Amino acid sequence: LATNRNLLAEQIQRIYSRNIDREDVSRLDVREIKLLITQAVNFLIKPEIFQRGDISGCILASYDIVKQTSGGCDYIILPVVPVSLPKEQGIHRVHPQGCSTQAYIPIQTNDFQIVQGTPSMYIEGQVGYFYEGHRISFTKTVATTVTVKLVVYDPVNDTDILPIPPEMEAQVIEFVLKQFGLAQMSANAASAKNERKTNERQLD
Amino acid sequence: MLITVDSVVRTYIHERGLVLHDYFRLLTIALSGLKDLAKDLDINQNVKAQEISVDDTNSAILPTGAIDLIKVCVPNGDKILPIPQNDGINPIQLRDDQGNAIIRDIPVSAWENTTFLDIGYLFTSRLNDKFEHVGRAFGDPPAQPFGYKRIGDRIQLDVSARPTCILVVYSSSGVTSDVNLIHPHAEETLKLWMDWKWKEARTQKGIWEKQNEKSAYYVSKRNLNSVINGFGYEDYIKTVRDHQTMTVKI
Repeated sequence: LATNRNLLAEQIQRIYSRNIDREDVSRLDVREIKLLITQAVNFLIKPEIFQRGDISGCILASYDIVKQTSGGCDYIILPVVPVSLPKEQGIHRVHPQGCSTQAYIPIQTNDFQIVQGTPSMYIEGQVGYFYEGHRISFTKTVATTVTVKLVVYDPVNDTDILPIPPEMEAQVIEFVLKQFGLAQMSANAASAKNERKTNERQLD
Repeated sequence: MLITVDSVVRTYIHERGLVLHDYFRLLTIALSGLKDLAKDLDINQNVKAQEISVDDTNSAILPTGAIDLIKVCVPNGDKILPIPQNDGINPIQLRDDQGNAIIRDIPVSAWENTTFLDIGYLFTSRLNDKFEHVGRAFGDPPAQPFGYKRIGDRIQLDVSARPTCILVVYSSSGVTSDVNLIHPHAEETLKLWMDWKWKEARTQKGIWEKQNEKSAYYVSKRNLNSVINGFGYEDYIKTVRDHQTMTVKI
């Protein structure tokens, strides 16, 4: 069963109410949980990438953006800020819409200024781009609509499949529960604690 | 058929498990490697010919990337008329009051204003004020009146002829502002150059590892040289003849 944000939020609510706070479940706002899930996924993506050594295709978000022009320079404004990775790998790929094989060449900030006047600045006749703030600027004129693939979790619907490998789901749940007062306690530990309390009540 | 440097860089990225985000830096390294290889190997047909226009001051600007001039000619239909090099051309650019470059007048030979008595016999008896012989004066008037002189990135032509364009044959750095090409046999050598320079920039690599990469590149370059500039019959004959000496028969 593929997990989505709704399913995960419900599971977190159940764990919370069963093991942590039976009396006051109303403390747990589902909107808060969903936001936390998003933040948890984005938080956990980075170590996952470093552990793997590359970027998994399932954590890429794709956007089609219409270009703008200012001072003869084409650029696009990103709808979200990608995960911060070395060499600006948070922006995984940029290409004309419908032409994924013609990816533009990523250039790290300042590199393009450094190589002005050298043969590298022509990038073998290809189009390069560099990222500053929310903006991706291109070295040449580009297609009207540009597709950008970013390393970020930016859910549109709660029923969209979570873009994380299944083994990361438990970490997401733990991350969210920690934000709800389980500072050093995992769900299992909370369960054990709860069981102990129940036993005590029975003894009384 | 030559291959593109772009394809070499992309193959390198794929082989070494790098990412597209390394492309730009690797391209810079590859282009410097191309220059290094092109210094002594014709790996990318870096001997080029181009027609360039001659301006009002009878000079022409060399194409971008030109390093050494091989030949300067005046195109004449399907033939070319070579122009000799003339070091006697004045290298200083003449300018008007506004600082614009202007052409010199057709020069008058220094000898034309002198008398026979001043100089004695023109070519054999030039004497100084002590009546000492100072040798013959060559080059003025020149035997070949038309010539060129390279001054930096400019070719200055003698003003006695006014062609509208000239054809220059030159060796280039091998790097252009368009798509760069390379001999397919040079691909592996270029990749070894990239290995060396890519690792050299990384401080965590050991000095021996960097040294090995450097050695591997130069070994590969020597092999490439033997492939591209093979030892042919003419080389054999030349070598044999160079080492034959006369002996005295007794």
